[in-house]
Amino acid sequence: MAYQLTNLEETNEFLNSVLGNIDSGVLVLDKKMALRHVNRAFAIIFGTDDKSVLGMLRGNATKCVYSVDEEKDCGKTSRCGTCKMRSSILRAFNQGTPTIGMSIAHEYYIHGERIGKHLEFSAKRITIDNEDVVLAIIGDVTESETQKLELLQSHERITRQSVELESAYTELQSSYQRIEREHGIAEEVLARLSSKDYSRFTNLRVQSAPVETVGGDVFFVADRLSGELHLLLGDFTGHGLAAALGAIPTSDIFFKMTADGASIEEILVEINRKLKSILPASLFLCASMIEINQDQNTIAVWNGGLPDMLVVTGQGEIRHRIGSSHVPLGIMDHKNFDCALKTVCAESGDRLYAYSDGIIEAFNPLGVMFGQEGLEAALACPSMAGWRVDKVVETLNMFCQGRARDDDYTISEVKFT
Amino acid sequence: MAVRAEVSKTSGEDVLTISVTGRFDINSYKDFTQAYKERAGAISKYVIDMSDLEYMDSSALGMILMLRESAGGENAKIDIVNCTPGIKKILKTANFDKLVGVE
Repeated sequence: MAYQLTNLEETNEFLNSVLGNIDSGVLVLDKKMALRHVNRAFAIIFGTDDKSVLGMLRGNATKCVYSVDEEKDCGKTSRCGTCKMRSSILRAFNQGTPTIGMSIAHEYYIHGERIGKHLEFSAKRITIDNEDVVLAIIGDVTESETQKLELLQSHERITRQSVELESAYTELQSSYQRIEREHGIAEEVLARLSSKDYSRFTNLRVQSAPVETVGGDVFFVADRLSGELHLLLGDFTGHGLAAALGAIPTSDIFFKMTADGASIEEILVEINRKLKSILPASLFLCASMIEINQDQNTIAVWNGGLPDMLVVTGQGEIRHRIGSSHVPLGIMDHKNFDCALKTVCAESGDRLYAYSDGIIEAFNPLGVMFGQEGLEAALACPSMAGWRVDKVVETLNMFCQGRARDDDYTISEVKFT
Repeated sequence: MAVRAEVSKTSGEDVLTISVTGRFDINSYKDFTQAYKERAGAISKYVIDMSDLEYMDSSALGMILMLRESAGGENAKIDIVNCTPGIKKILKTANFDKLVGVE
């Protein structure tokens, strides 16, 4: 088909070609609202065929759901009064007022199924063969309208989720802050409880380092009126708040009973009973309790769960090693609690070491543990005027090369003269 | 860590075997407690199988104590089996062989 481009619009063939190929429905309605002409796209949009609908009323031809359900002709149903398509066609006919791109949402029976359509409707009165007719163009925008709706719903959903996320974040932040505060309280309580002023015990030195705010180690020292020295070095499982909760009564019992002249067996029985009653089953206190008679240089030890307590000679050899032989405090019920002590003698120049496993379980950047061997190697030197524990801490820090520790440590040294 | 629980009948006793693999630490809490809590009433003996365990820390000891309490405290029958030397050392230092069976 060859056309002259200059008067394309005057060529019927061209116009027919356009009518037949566009995807908007084109219809011509007469004054009775009957269809005088429809194009192929109209038939496709409404699931009908372009020939059989000629002469039918618009709503009947399109199978408007109200027309079908009420079995009434187009124009006679209960809803025709509010039909936007109908009123715009009437306006075009009666007032000559065109409609351009009006959005219409309506339901039709298409191939037997009730389907909602979004249409863009235009109508204009024209004259064909001396007859006033309305030319209407119907664009089917259902798909893009549906997509728009889904997009909107997605957007709303995302906004809602965003609000929920924000709210969850705020809650998390406030929980976190509460935990931090509680840790801070626990740290302070533990710090106040542990004997910090050892200065009057000139034969004692303690090195300890908590891991940030989550401490678990405790160290108590007191002397009885009769002169014996009591030491309690402990490592609470559960750290933080749990440790503080256990440390408070432990400290009270230790200091009061020592002041009252109680033996370490009696003190241990009391601490065990108290901790068993107040702490949940999973929490306990690994501890070494030591009584030193400084006149006789005797050492009585109860070790429940801590690494070997060591007595090291002036030359750096291990004279005594007292390992853990008891279940940690707070586990055994009272009647089965064993407070049996191991007693050893120290010589002049010997030094006693009690420590928590934080020293043993410190790692270097390569993942190698300092270990019992590392500790004993650091202690295996002739004693000097200073303190071996200072050297141990120095050696430990060099070994760890700045790698953060997982656990707090405490190491104590007692000199025997 | 993975936890597998299996009930079997041995000499008329209902035995719950809990197998733990990988790491037994604070992250194991939910799986481990679920393994025994659901069946609490019916079981007369517990076996904890450590064959595939690589690591265990003090929170694991705490969980064993919780099981012990739930299973009757000092009357609980619990055996920890197939311990590697490392695991056995941890249990021995804590003297847990005075509380439960350790093999």
